Amino acid sequence: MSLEKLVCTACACLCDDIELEINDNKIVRINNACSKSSAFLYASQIKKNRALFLVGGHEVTKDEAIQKAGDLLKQSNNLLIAGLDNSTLEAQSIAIKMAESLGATIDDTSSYCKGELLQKILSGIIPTCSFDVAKKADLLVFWGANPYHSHPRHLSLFSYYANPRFEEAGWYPASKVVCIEVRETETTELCDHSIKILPGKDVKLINDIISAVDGNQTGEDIQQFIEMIDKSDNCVIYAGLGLDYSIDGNYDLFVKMTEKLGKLTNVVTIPMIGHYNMRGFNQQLFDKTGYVNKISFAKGISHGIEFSITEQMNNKVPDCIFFAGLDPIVSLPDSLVKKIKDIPIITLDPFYTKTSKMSDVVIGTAVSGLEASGSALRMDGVKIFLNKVISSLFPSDEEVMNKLFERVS
Amino acid sequence: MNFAGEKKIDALWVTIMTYRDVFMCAKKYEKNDEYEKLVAQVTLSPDDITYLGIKDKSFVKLVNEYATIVVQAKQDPNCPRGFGFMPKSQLANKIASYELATGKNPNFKRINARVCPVD
Repeated sequence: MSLEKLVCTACACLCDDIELEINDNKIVRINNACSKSSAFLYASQIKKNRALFLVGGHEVTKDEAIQKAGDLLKQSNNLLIAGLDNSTLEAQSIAIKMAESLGATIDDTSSYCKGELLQKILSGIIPTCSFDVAKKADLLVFWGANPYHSHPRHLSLFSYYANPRFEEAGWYPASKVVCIEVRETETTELCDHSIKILPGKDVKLINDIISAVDGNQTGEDIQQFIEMIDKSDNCVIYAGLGLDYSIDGNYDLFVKMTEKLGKLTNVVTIPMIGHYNMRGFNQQLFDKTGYVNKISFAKGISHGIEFSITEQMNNKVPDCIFFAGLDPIVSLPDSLVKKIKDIPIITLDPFYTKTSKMSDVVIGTAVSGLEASGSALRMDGVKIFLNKVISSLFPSDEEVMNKLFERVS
Repeated sequence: MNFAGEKKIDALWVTIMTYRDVFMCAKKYEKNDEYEKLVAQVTLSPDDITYLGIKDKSFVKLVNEYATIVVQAKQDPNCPRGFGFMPKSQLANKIASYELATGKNPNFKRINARVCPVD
């Protein structure tokens, strides 16, 4: 029996204090993990959950699967490489090089989930900070985010309870919490002030906040919010999926609002990212192209909505799709998924997913941070190193990407 | 009641927002069939439940141009009238849509669907 420390890759919190008791290369006990993390880790131990090496639904060797995948990639004239948010920085880097070498289109889930926010953060338009700094903030705003469900240890490790001035012995919260939500949640129960809005009314609220900062009379809720901002020294807005979908990824007005609020106090925004290394993909693609997603390398570097996963699928553009750690059958509307039924699909995933079932080639990989090492960027942009804790017969996603790149080069 | 098993009431249209639930996420990894059952629910306002003439936890059909699905209707006083909340899942994906003309993101937060009681 051995005790090992692990960085969890179930979400972009990348909690680094997970303890595993390992016996005979198997997890027998998990400490400190949330229910999402423990379910994810235990699921990886169950053989039937894992992806194998499949070609046309038949089990093959690792080399045969990689060879077939390489052939499909080479034959493709309109390749879409999609996903990669659940891959290590090293694997993402190779995938971006491969996309460039093949003149392919490359995109990740950020094109329909906080990508515009990331673009503005990485461009320096929206101020941000690391969790180490954010922990000390005296005002936390959870906007369209319920960390109890999306990131269960966020409050305890990185925000509310992690404030250095928080005293466990009593109940003296060092920071105040504001929730902007469409209904009561666990987080709204905790907060000092809640602004309840109707679904889809975030744009109106942002306009009202801007108006209130300008001195106009608005609702009591908003006035109280402005007063709390004014009294605070440091305010962190944790932007969730609720905000992103309500404003349909258009953050121009949000930028205007943060600029206005920034005149009252120091305001930063941290995106509540789901996939463990979405920020890593966005950062690497941004460094190379100036854009966080939706890139085509067919004619130099082109960027646009037409290169998004959703538009590519909707218009049946690709003649081959390489899904790396993405399960569109579970994550995208059925009406969209139906459109790619006739397109050859290669899937790279540690788990046997619903998308694996409809794939021409499936390549099972090791679980990063548990069975393979590497690195990733946490949702606040801090680089975290992932250790290999147990051995696996599956190759790392980096190894597979390397082999595929060798084949297509 | 008509041939499709729907009670004859005026159509009740709701806007459905999907959300992520950690317990359902955990079940997804542990046992998928159980997860599919857990996600087959929609939360509605008490007024809408009354309007439909059903009891809490009755089954309803959610119908739109993309699909018809059957889920359990749960009453929640926090839910505003005319809206519904449903866990994000493959089941919800059936009635979700994607049209660039109406939004850049897939429509997981403003799904329009008709609610019909089921016996």
